[in-house]
Amino acid sequence: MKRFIIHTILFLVVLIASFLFVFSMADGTTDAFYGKLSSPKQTSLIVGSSRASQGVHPNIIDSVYGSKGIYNYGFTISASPYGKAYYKSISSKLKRDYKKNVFIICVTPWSLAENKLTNKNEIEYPEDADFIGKTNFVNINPNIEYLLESFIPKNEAIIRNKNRKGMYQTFYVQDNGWLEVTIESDMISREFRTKNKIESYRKRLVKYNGISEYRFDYLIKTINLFKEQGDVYLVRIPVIEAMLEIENELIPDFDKKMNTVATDYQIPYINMMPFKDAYEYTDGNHLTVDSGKKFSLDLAIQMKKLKSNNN
Amino acid sequence: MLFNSLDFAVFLPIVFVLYWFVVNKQIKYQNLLIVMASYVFYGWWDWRFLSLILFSTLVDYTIGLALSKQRDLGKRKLLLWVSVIVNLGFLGFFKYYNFFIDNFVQAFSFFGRDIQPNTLNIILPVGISFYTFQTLSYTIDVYKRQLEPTKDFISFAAFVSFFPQLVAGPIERASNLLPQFYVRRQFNYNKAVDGLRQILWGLFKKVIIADNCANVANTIFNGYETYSASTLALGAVFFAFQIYGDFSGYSDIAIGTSRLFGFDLKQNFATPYFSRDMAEFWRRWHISLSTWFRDYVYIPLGGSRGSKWNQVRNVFIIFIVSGFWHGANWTFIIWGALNALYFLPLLLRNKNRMHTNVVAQYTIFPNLTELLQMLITFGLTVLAWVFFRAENVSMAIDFISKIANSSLFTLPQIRPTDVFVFLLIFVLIEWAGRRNLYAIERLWYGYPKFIRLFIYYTIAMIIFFYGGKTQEFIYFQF
Repeated sequence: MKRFIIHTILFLVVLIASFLFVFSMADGTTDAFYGKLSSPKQTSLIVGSSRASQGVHPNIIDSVYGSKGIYNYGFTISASPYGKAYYKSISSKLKRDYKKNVFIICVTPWSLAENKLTNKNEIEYPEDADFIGKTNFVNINPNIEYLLESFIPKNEAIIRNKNRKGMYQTFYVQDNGWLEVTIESDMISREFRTKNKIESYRKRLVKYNGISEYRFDYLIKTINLFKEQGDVYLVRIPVIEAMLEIENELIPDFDKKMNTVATDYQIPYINMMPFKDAYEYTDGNHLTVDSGKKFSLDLAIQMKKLKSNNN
Repeated sequence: MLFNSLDFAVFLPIVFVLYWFVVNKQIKYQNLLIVMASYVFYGWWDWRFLSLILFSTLVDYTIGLALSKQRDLGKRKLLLWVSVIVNLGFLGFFKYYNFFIDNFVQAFSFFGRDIQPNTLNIILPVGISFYTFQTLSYTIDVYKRQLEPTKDFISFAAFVSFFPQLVAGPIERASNLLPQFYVRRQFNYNKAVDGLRQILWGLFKKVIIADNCANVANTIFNGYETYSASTLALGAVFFAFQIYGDFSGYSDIAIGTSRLFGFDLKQNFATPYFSRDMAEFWRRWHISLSTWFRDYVYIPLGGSRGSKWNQVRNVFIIFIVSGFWHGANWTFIIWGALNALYFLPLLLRNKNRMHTNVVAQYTIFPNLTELLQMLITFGLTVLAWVFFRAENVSMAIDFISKIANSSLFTLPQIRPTDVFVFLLIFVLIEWAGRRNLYAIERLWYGYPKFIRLFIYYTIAMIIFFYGGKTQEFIYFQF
């Protein structure tokens, strides 16, 4: 028995050490989320969906607005609509020591919409069963919990993706949380993606019921959480006209609702949608890298202006 | 709890340590620990259904004792029927209730009468088909006086709920497993190491072969209308490997885990895809179920005795019932009937026991005839698997009719290189280890220990690198 235990433990130690070695190689190239879930706690945050994740550059906000180390903690529309799971994740990511921080809350009708349940197998808040709800530890590196429970590709992708960094159709989460997506930028690819995206969001539209009270409540909770620690900006990132039309069908008076929230909680609502034609999009829904930088600059200028007006 | 989950990776060492270091002084405590561990294992999925196992255990234990005291044949029969009705009643209700209701409704509407069915939202308890058959075998054996009924309730409860094989078999006979609970288990180093080796191979089959094939097979089956004939054929082949890797992988893990605790379970798969005819295939596939049906259904019906007509009838009954056991859907029934049809020519020509040894027993490679026989048998099996996998009969027929098309001779639209490589390695290892109880049992015995350890380490690393995400075992649903 003693021999068996010793041999088994030795074998397992070598095996687990090998697993840990591979896991320790995971970084921003691993997927679109790992970098964000393995970085330290942050004092200032950008939250929202993939539009925010790709479109808001923390470095530009920092340099123009004057914030220090704002971190992009946006994910995707399916993983990070406002709700219990995302709120819990944000709370775990937030370092509570400072008071003069900056928070950008990006909102879209999708991140506040109510899911329509069409069959008994569907759950009301799908993100609870997604990585955002399942990952309890969001500040450890390597994040073994995430890699074991939620990392969808095979583990060999941890190494493979490292070697593919910068190639087409790759993700890279930078140290500040900004998600760099390398994607074909020619017109044909862009039009193809835009067409597909609009079709998919049209189909998605029937799965929603309009605004969700639950999600709205969690948006308010998020605002209150951030307000305790600094300045909060509610932001709407622009999309192309066709996408806006779909969003207007989903929640027709979205901007009015956001303005009310802004007034009630005394925070600015920066709606960048009217300037949508000033930017370029990879698929009608996400800003290109260059447009993202331009957008971030415009946003930071607006934020600074609002701050100086308040002062 | 899934074998290929973190929960089980924590659960198993805890139970192992408690079993060999804390309660090792008395068999009673060891058995009690097995019962408790098994209930935790099962309750991890849904604790409410533990009551079914407990009830089934109590009923069969009591009936077993009553049978030992009862000499009157009529009363003995009555007791047997109580056990059969309780066990099959549970199975029938949870597994087949909605199937029968739906079919009644369809039958009535066919004759122009619409009825409002009272269907229920029933959850199928995991493993119910397995443990009900296991407990039934006990009562039947006691009834036939082939087994002494046990007076030791804990041992009996441990036999019914033994966690390694509780939810997906192998379906153990009381005569094999129950006596093992009566004797004190001695730890045996070689047996335990062998158990770990079998677990490793089972995990490889499940995580690398089954789960990777499942990704491809699911894609093809879910969108079969859009794929070429060669792609559909590939999907069916991948499903054949998926179900084999999934189920035999589970059996290997179950048998290996049992060996860690000093138990020997029966072999459940013996490289069935290297069979030379369908009769051999069915002697090598899901052996515990096939022998169960043989002993408790086929032989009581007359088996291969009597007229040819009776033999044919018995073969159809056993295969159709076996198909129905797998699921409450006409697809499974047709799958069973199709296998009966495959079997029939062998039966009628008295050639159903031609291949009782391992193929190419004394040679490295099969001869051309054997190779052809294996390919034909595999092809027939794959065709039948389409019914097993399809959501309904019309889908299966449509799928097969789309395969019979000139695009069968074009390159498949989906060509997952990594899965092809894994399958090639897998088939070669299975071939090399076809004489063993499981492929890698004695495969590298001649090599120095460090080389063997390196091979096992490599297998474990392949599982780590290329394993898909945790998926349930297919046979959990049966």
